[in-house]
Amino acid sequence: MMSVSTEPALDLGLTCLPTYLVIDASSSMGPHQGVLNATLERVYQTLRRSPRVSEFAHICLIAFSTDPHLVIPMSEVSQVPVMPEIVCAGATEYGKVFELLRQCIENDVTTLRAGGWDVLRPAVFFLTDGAPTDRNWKARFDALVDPRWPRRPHVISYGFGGADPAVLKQVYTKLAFLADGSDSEAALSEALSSMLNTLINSAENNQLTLVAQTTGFQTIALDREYMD
Amino acid sequence: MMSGTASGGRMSGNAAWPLPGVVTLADIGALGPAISENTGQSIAIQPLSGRPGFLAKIYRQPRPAQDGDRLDALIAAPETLSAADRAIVRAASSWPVARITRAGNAVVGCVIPAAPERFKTEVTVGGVSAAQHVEVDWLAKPDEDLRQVGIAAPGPAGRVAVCRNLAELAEVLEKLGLVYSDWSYSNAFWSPVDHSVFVIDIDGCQLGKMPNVHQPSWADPLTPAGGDADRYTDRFRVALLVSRCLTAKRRADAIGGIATGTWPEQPAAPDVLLDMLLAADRERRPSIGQLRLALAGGPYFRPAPRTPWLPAPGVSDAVLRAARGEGPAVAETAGALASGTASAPRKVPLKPFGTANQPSRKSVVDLSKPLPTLEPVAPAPAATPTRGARSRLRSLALSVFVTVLTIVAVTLAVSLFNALFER
Repeated sequence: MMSVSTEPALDLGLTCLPTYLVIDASSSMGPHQGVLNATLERVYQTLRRSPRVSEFAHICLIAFSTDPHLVIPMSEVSQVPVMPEIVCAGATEYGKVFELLRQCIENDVTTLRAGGWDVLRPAVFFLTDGAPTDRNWKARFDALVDPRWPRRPHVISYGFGGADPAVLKQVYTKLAFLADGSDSEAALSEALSSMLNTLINSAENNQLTLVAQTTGFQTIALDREYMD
Repeated sequence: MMSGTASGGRMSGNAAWPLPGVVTLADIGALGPAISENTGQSIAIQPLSGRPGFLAKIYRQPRPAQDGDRLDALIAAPETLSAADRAIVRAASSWPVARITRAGNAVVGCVIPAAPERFKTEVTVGGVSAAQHVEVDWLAKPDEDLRQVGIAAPGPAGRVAVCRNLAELAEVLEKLGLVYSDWSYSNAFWSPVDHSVFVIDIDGCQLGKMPNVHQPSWADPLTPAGGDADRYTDRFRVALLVSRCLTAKRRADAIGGIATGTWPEQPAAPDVLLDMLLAADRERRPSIGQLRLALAGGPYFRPAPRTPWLPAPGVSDAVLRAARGEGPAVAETAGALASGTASAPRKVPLKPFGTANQPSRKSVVDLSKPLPTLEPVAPAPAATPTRGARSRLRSLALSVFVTVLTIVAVTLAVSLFNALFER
């Protein structure tokens, strides 16, 4: 029987986590627009001030209402000069954004790998304050997280304001948070802070490490899965 | 080697820790708002309200009493060091000064010195300025990137200075037999003003070996994940950190940068770094003390035969071959190889002392053995101003006397000659 020798190899490749921040920018978010933009700016500031987090968590910002909009294409945060402000308007269409996400992931993973990155399974942070206004969104979500699709992302969802718990249960794969509705602005800020802590911890561990604040800052390290 | 027991009176920068080496949360009093939460091994790091300059680091989970023994020995270790090394650990690290315990002797945390203010700098992002600790992370970025956010660019000399200071602290850990393991971007601050460093998370150090935490971009190819990290792992990771900070490159191209870069004031540094990173036998990685010496402009005495190297990703064989033969003078050769004008690497003898064409007369020092203690040399007696004046006066008087005597003698001779002539 032939033996296979494994020579030690120096591997200093850099790992990155494609991170999709998907924000509900429908008109119902209008009252919270100020907090939303301020919190997004805080996320940007924090990421930009830490080269290793910025390098690890490549960011794509998608805002959606009647249509999805690619606000920041997949980028290293240090290459993003400024965080755009979002002006909320329109309906809450889930289906199109899930479809856009799948297209983005397919392209972004290919591009990142071509750039020499070791690419982890993408993470989608999905923030919504309401129920979807379209009907056939579930099939598109299922396509996004289809186990047969090798590049399917982890989805972590945050529901606040008028978010329907029954809907929220259907749009996550790893964790879902639902605010109690008493203070939507605080919940929004908390949701983005939670995402930020997740990214910082993930950069520290070089793998997606979820921060479940509801259980007292408990962290959950997921398997390190690299994308082909 | 580390030994000793924890007791009070340890210094932190300019402030002395006034309490014993083992305290309770009640002993240390009120704590201020957390400056860091839920990072690494700690659930929170909070300032001691009544003792400026000190922080309480509270662990995620209480640790058993045995871990208290380790921490106590660590707390006491600086007292076993020379004054110079002790000054290094006090100035350049958050060396723990006390263990925080609770009923049953479980370890719930430790007291550490806070990083001095000089490690904070105004960083400007998107027009917003805020003071923050500057991690060595930033050094693995080009100077231009630092300027963009308002951090004073260190330049090549500043980068060397930071790396030398980092190696000084790491060398002290090595002398104590301590393994740090987690050398990476996030565990040290540097000052853009004076290029000093401040290494954190010292309280996690263990004697001899500790679990090797797998970090993909810091993975030592010769230390198995899930095994133990030891001094040789630390040598690899310190060399990698230094290489990335010197070259401002974050990927494997840092190794290429070291192989092809030139540091005229530190000619031996590339050879030391390449041997630390690429030695096929991990136990033949040069010591951190050797690295510190090379970064200070000193020599490198490479063991013979030369350490075989592992293949380096992203660095062509030609460049590496050139580096093997040329060491720090490889840049020209690499360029010539690229342009096809070079035939073979030119051998340049190691010149640890003296100038390029003046071989040193200094004796070779065997760095594998402890250096002898230098005895103070009795100063040679210096000529005092009084003695010099007297000597000069005596010479002057003698000269005058001789001159007068000569004149008298000549006068007498002339007179005698005239008298005889007249007769």
